[in-house]
Amino acid sequence: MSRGEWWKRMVTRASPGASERNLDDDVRAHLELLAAEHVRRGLTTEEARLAALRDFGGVEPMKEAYRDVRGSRWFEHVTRDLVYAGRALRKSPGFTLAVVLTLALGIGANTAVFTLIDALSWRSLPIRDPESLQLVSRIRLGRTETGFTYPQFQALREAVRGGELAGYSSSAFPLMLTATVTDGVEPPISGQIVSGNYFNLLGVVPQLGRLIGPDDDRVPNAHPVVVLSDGYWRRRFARASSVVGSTLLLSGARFDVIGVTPPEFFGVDVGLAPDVYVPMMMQAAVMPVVGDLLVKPSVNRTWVQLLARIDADVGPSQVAAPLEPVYRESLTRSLAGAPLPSLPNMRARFGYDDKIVFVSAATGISDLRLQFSTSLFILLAIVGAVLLVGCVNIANLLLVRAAARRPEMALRLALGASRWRVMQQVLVEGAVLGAVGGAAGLVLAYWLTRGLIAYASTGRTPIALDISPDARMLAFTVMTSLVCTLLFVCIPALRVVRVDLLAAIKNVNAAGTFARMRPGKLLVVAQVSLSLLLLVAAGLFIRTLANLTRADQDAARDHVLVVRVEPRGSNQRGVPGTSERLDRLYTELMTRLRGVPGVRSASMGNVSPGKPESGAGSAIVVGGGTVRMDDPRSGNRPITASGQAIYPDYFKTLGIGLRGRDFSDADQSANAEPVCIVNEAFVRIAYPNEEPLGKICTTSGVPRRAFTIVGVADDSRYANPRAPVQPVLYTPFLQANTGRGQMILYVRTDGETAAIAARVRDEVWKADSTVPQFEVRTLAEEIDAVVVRERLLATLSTSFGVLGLILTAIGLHGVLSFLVVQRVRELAIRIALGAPRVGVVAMVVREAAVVVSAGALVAVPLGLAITRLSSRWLSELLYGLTPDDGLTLAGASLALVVVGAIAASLPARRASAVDPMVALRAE
Amino acid sequence: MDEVPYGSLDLMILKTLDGLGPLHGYGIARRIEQVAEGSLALNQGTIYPALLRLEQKGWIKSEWGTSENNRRARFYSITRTGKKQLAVETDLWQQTMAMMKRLLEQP
Repeated sequence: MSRGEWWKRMVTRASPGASERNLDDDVRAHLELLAAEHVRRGLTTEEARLAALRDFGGVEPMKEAYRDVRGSRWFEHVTRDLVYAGRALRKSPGFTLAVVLTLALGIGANTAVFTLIDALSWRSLPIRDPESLQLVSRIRLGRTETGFTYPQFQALREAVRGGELAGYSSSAFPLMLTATVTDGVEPPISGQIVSGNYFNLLGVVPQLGRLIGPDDDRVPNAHPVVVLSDGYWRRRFARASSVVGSTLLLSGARFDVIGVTPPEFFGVDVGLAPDVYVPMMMQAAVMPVVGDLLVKPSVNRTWVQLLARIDADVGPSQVAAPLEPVYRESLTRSLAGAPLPSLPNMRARFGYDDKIVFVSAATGISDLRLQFSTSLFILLAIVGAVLLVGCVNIANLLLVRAAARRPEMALRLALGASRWRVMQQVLVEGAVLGAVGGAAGLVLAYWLTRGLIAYASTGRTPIALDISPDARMLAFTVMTSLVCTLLFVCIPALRVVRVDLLAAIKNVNAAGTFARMRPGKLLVVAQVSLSLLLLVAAGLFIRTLANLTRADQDAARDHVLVVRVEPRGSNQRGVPGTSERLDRLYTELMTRLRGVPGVRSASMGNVSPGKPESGAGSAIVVGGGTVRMDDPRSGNRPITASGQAIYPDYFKTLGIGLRGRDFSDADQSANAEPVCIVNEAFVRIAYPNEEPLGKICTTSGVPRRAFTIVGVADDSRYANPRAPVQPVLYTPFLQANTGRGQMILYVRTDGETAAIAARVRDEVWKADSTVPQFEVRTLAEEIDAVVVRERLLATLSTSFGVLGLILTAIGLHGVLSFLVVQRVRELAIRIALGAPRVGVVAMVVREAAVVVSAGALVAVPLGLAITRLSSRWLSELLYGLTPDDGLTLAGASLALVVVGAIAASLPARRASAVDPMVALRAE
Repeated sequence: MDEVPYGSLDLMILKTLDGLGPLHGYGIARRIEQVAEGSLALNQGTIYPALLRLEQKGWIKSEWGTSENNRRARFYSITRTGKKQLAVETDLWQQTMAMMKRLLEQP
């Protein structure tokens, strides 16, 4: 039809009330004229009226035909159905509440996890044209790495053609700053060092003042300006516009505040949001621990991340390829003085064969993504399964409800309603439930998302993610609600279509279909399968967590405080005098703390769960002498061990067992005999059959040092909870051969941990108040932060596994109860004829057992198939066990059987309590 | 007969309005019965759905007016597109009648 016609139809459809009135007017006029005609012919008024009606024909049928033409009937019908549905649902609040709650939980959980995945992995950065942003990376020995030194950045920036490069400080070199306004200790804020063209390249526009520009990036140490983030501006300055022009003390240096970034901007690291931004030229001032990396760069400090914006008509590889020779030249220059490695393996290791590539950075860069991406997808599968289980329950509930209304529907059908109209009512009711459940789920998702992020942020800098609703998330919620509604509505709707009228009106049970309840039972079988899979998953994740955090030592982890101590210059032990200065500082700190009441012991080491050693071990030769390491005749056995620098009382503080003796203060002095302590793993490899105490081992490196073993410590996984136990060689701080002097303070308390934590914080601040102060945490919190992913998976999979199990139990109970009610006559007859009640109970139990076993039988091959398909991802998430672990499967099955038995017990009891006289009389 | 062949009611309405200008429902029904000279006794109410359909198609338009007995009623008149449609339908009917005539006169 034409547009005009369509439009007219819409108009009349939209105002049915007016249209009805108009028709009434027309009809009234017509009837009166007809009646007048008959009066003229001689009939009385009343006769004339009746004659007019006869002439006119049926008014109501005509009006129905009129309404059909008008076409708004569907609209009216749906409106009426909605009103009816609302009334009906209000009349059965228990049913409505159960359904809405189930939906809200299921849809809410799904939306929450989806939002996290979206925020972490799919959202584009809130910058200008994120699609064209690239991250400059290198491929070294097959692995893609990022990060360059400052001279490399400068060289590449000069040489690039067809695009522009900007740099910022990598999250591998986190910048923690202390912003002080008054005396006292504040929690450290995070900062980012950016090149002059960083904000220009990203296209960020300040919401106040101005941003760092190329003019702030010319002379080292000459541009003390700082840009605040919106979050920090809100937290610290309450959005006062007077902040521009004020001064901020960052790690003891004065900076002028020049502007604030817009609220949605958080840099390019997803999950981190720097509080402040400083120009690259100010690097030395804000990184006092590491020292000046602009003037005195080190080839290992690849702290600059490079972003690239390519011109529209150029391909990324075209821009990347010419940069390789520039990079190699810069590398050669920075390695000048060191002998050029001749072995090809060494060449590659130093970076001579690196390839420069551009990687898309439209969705930002994220360590968090690598850590959590797989887990989140698995969680999505878990909550999806729970939602399915819930939908099955809802379907069964609706089925029961539809069964109760069978007589009414059959009557309507018999009176001439089309099956479609009756089915429409069922659909509308389901749609209302789905919509309300979905909306409630959306609200729940809001809180769940925030809760999940807070949980994952324990023991570390809070995760910052943009979880504001976007189109994708809303579309997901709507789609999920729609799919769920379809799932649980189609079965009752189909039932309506196949109703046998006569039997339905008399409410007689047709022998067979309805009583057997086959679709209901099939659905419960599906629920049981899903439940079993969920339970197995939960079991696997719980055991993984247990394996990871199993305490090897007796240390009460809640009573050991851990804090990083990084005084000025502590990353440059090579500078003469630094080691001694640091040692004095540390020793004084520990002495002061040991005097605090409530402190049992204090010590320092250079690794912690939150800051594990990088794992590059040094080769140690067992045995003494100056014989070459690779000489087979010498009888010396080389092993690789990681070195840790510690102070006396380390093992006592951490509760690690030690035999032999601990280091003493005497071992630290300049002319003391070099001593070391090794761990059991070391002994197992190097001295399998001998007593190691008193033996000598020699470290490689220049110069060679020989240490005498004076103690053997138990294995400890505190240094790196994830990795298997490594051989470790402990040396006293002053004798350790490392350029890094930052240490970690451990304090063991007697109980008053919170109060002593405050004291520890004070003392560390007094040790050096000009450098960033780190949070004081307990060992338990540190370990929790390391295993946060496993904790998240274990907690959530268990919660949802239990929820799924409860829902399945409800479903099983529902089906069995219904069965009992439907077959009450049959049961009554059996009992009346002398069947033992036990036999009746056994019948119910048998039904339950069939369902549960069928579910388990379906689940096992399904589970195997899933684990086979996803073995790569699963193996990275599990620790110490494989997906087809027998013990877990057995435990899950047992739980299922127990719950199934409980669920079946109530209907069974009801069945056994059937009184034949009562049952047979009721009809 | 008292059943109108399907589709011909529309044509009758159009023709009536074409000839007689604005009429209300009663007028149209009366006129059709008149022209049929008593061989047609339709249920007069059935023209209202037809009138709505014709109005939706844009072949007639309606205006509010007052009937002879001082009641508010809608008066319908044919539109230009309606006139065109009338010509088309008339043609079609005549062709159909001619063809049927030939067919039925065959020995």
